[in-house]
Formats: sequence, structure tokens, C-alpha cells
Amino acid sequence: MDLNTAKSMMLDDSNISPRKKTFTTRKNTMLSISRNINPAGQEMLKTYKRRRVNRASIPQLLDEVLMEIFIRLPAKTLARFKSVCKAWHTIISEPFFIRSHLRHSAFKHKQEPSFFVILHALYNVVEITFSNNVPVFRWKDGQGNACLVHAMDFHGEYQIINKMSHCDGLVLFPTDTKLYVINLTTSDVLRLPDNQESDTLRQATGLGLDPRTNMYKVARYFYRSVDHTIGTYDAAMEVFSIGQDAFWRETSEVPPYPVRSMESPIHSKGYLFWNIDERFLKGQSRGFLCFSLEDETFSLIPHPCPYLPLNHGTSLVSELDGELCVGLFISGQQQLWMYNGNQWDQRFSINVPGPNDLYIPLDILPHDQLLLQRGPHLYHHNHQSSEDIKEVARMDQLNYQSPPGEPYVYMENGYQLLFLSAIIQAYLTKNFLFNLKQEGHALLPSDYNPFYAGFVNRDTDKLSYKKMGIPKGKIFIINPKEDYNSWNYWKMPSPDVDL
Amino acid sequence: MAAAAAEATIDGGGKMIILISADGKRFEVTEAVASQSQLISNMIEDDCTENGVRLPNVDGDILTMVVDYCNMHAGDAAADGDTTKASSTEELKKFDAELVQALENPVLFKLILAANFLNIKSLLDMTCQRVADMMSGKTPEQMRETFSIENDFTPEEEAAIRQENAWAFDD
Repeated sequence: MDLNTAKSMMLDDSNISPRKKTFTTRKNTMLSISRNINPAGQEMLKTYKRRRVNRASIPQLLDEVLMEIFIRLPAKTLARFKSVCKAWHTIISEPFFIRSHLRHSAFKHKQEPSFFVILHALYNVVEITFSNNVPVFRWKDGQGNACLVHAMDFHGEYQIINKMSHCDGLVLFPTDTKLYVINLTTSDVLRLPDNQESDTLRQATGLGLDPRTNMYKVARYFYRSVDHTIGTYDAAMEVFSIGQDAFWRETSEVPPYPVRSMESPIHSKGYLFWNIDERFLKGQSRGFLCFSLEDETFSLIPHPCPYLPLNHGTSLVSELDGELCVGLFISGQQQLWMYNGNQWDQRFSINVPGPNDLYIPLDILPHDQLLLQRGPHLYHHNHQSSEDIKEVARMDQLNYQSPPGEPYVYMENGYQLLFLSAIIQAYLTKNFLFNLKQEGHALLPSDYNPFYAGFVNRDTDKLSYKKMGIPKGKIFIINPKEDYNSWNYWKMPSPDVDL
Repeated sequence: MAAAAAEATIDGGGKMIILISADGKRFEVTEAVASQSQLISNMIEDDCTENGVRLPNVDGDILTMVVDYCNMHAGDAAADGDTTKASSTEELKKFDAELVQALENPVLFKLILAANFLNIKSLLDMTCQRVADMMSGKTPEQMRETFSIENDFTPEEEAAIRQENAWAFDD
């Protein structure tokens, strides 16, 4: 299958929702024999039939049933089965099937939650450079082990890793040199083309799915210039569609608000949300810059509690259960507010001592339990129980294993023990550098706050970021429920593009 | 079968429905049992089960299995939060496992098609999962052999597809 075919297959199915309806309509039609089909339903029925015409599947089963079976198969088996016959290839490649597989996978994840843990290691703790070996582990909720899934080697291409983000098992992996997208299922790595403005201090890049074209897009908000003394800036947005674009495209609409640099936007339902940088706003209410991946336009989502003091957790933004989630410190509790596309709802509240003790919500587990992270600690929160927080694991003390059960040996410059025991931290951890010991001595004086310093200077001082910014990506834990993505469709852009 | 149907009458109560298989076998079940099939549930709603429900694409043998399954699971939907059902959950699991474990592929496929046609979600889930478990980790060659599938790719096409998905073959 060449790139054009791949593209046309995706474009062919460009309109998702009618297609989805088609499938259900057909099923309902078949099932409620005596019910009248409305004309629209008939139209959809025709569409569905037409799509099915030239398929001969295994003699005993309908395509529809085959699909029910295929959604239960692991991505790797499916990728192999593409070469069984044309009919199977067609079913497995269809965007509609891939979405069904993702949904089923999400459903399975709900029953038995498991996560990827990406371990970062420092290559040199004095210079502060990152190891170019990036191991990915799978951790199941409640277990003391994490199994190696992939180990990627970037061969010295970067020194610093910035904060990652993810969508459907694809990971956006920003470094000080290149921007990568990693497919955790296939372990493919895509190097995105260089940007016109490549200063990593002045950008915030996110990844998401355009629901209309089914294409994964990387969107990068960047500042061409910033003048804090008079509070002016010049910013733009550029987009790279994976599998289609050879270069970044600047959006025709200019982003109407300034956003915080270096914070990855949150992806939810075809939109990316950036935290607005209130330093430029001069009294206007706070909120989120919302970017539609479908039509590449902007809108403003007001903050759920715009008058809350700034330090009460406004920057603690994450994706929870597919929705934008903000953690706020309000009257002795951390409240989780979630945005469902129309409005904010306050969904959970957790007892916390103060605004510096907020948790990062990772996932909603069965029985409405929350999986929370703070530093290397993972917790369960059960709002029905009086003992509402329970530690379930420490990421720095997990038994990291490479299959089949052998301990994972991390070889790097003689610091390997440190990497496993001390460096694995959440990006919000403020004190990780103090735990880093070299021959028994702390590397930094204890009154030194690298994290804070990193933030203060983030727009102007690259050197300070290089030293201070690293806690941001220490450990990256993602929810791998979405295993199978349409990555398999696309190939790397043509070789004449210098990647 | 008759015993199962009679039992259903006693504890399920309510109206009885006659299901008629492709080969003319008749099964009498309660509405509660039959309603696990979304197809029949819709028909009950539309009041068109008076003269029995003909199922022209389900054989008697298969329908026997389906009716057995539905009789076993009749309590499921109503039992949410009912603690007295706790012990029978184990029994149900055992029954389900035994139902699909022993089946040869052709029979299993017929059962899947029946579950799909009748739209009995839990039965469809279980049977499809069984086939998926058999397929998982297999090679394309094994699939072609198991399911008598003709390879309709040219050697070049097949090589290209394999190349594209090389990551999936590197065990």
C-alpha cells in the first residue's frame, strides 16, 4: 500500500459520525424487523452495504462478526493478520474498525488498568544531560513489578528531554534538538521536521487526533518575540499532520491569547487546551486557549474558578478519563474540575494539607477510585471511604523487569543505581535533585530551589532552564488503553525531506 | 430442554414465548429469558410474538444452546446488587466456560452468528472472546489453514504488507 492509497483510505472515511451511525443503524434495522426505517437510515444502510460489497471474508462468518472478534486481538496480532487476505486487510485497516478497537481497549483497561512507565535517566548529573536510552515499562495497577516493553536508543541526538504528552498510544517526545513522536505499540520513532523557531523555551507543543480526518496532528504554539517589560508578545501556531505533511504549516488564524511556554497542552476529544499565561492578561479572567484540531480555529474556555489565587493549583492541569481536568486547592481540599466540552463539573475532592501538596490525577479506576501521583508515589483515592488516600506503589521502588523476569540492568556512566532509586520522579516533584547523592553527598545545597528558578527564568534564560527544567519530565506515566492507532497507515514522509 | 423451560415458567413467571428454529423445533421460554435477546425484546415491545418467533437462520441444535444459555443467565440483568446471587456467579462462569470450551469451530461460529442475529450481547462477547483467544499470537499462515482462507495477494503485495508491518513479525 503506498502513501497515496493510505491517505485516500483515511480521507475516504473522512466523516466519522455518519459512519458510526451507519453501523448502528444497520444493526438496529436488522433487529427491529417491524420498525420503520427513516429515509436517512435507509441512506446510511445503502452506504454501509456499498462498502461491504467487494469483501469476501472467511466463509463461515460475517464481516460484522469478524470485527467483533478482531477488536479483542492485540495490535501485534492484528498487524500480522493484515497479510492473511485482502478482506482481512480491509477490515483491519478501516478507521471505523480502529476506533472500535480503541473503544474496546479502553473498556478492557477499565477492568484491568495498566500503564506505561517511561524511565528517564540522567547521563551526567553534573552537566545535567539525559540518557539517550529510553526504556518503556508496563505497570499494572497494584503490582510491584514493571515489565520492559521497549528500549529505545536515540544515539546521542539530544541532551535534554522536556515534558511528554500522549494520545492513543502515541507519545510526543520533545527534546532540546528534535521533536519526536513515538508509537509505543510498534516502537517506531518519527522525527518531526525542524521548526522555524526552535527555541524550546518559547513553545508549548501538543499531540491529538483530528476526528474528521482521523489524522494525528502535532500543534505547536510558539513565541517569535516576548517583551515582558511592556507586556507584549508575537505568537503563532503551527501544525504538522502526521502522515500527510512534510513541513509545518502555520495556521491561518493567529492564536488570540498568550499561553504558558513549555507546558504541554491537554488533548481531549479533538481539542487541545493550553493554559493561558495570565502575566500578559492585565486583569482579564483566566482560562484555557482551546484549539480545534479539525478546523484549526481557536476559542477561549473560561477557568472554572477564575478568582482563585494563582498558587492554588491553577497550573495542575491534566487529562482525566478523556477530559480536561484541573486540580484546585479550595477550602482545605484539592478539587478536581473536569471540562466535558460544554461546562465544568466538580467531580472529586481530596483532603490535602496545602496548595503545595496537590496530586496529579492519572486515571479513574473501577468503583470510581482515582489513581493519583505525587512525586514517585502512586495512590488510590476512594471518596467513599474515610481513609481516603492509600499508597499503592512507589515508582522508584518498583521492580523494573525485562521479560522474561530478569532484572533490568541500567548501564550508564556508573550512576545506574541512582537512576533506579532516586531519579524517577514526577515532573511536579520539586525536591528530586536533593535526593541525588554522589558518593554520599548531596549535589546541591538544600536551600536551593532549582524548580522555582527554572520557572522564573523560563522565557529568557536558556541556561537556567537547561539546569532547572529537567524535573519536568522525570517519569512519565501514561495510560496505554489505546493500543492500536492508525499509525500503521502512514509511512515516514518521503526521503527527500530532511528529517 | 423441556425441564429447563418448565423451570423458567416457575421462577420467571410472566408470559411465555415460543421460539421456532429453522428446522421447526419449538422452544417455550419466559419473556424474561427471551428478552436477553435484543431482537426478541424489541419484538415483544412491538407486540408481534403472538404466533411464535420464527428464527429462519438458527438451527435447532444451536437454538438449544442459546436457550440453555439464556435460561442460565435470566437472573443476570435483574440481579444487580442482589447478594443472594453471589454463589451462582461462580456457577455461571463454569457453565459459560464449559459451553464454549468444547465446541468445534463450525459450531462455535454458528453460535456466534446466532448470538449476533439475536443480539445477545453477553453471549456474543463470550463466543467472540473465545475465537480471539484462539487467534491471538498466531501467524497469517496458521490463520489461512485454520479457516481455509485463500491468499488473494500477489507475492509482491504480500511482501509489501509484511514489510510495512515488519514490527509485528519480530518474535
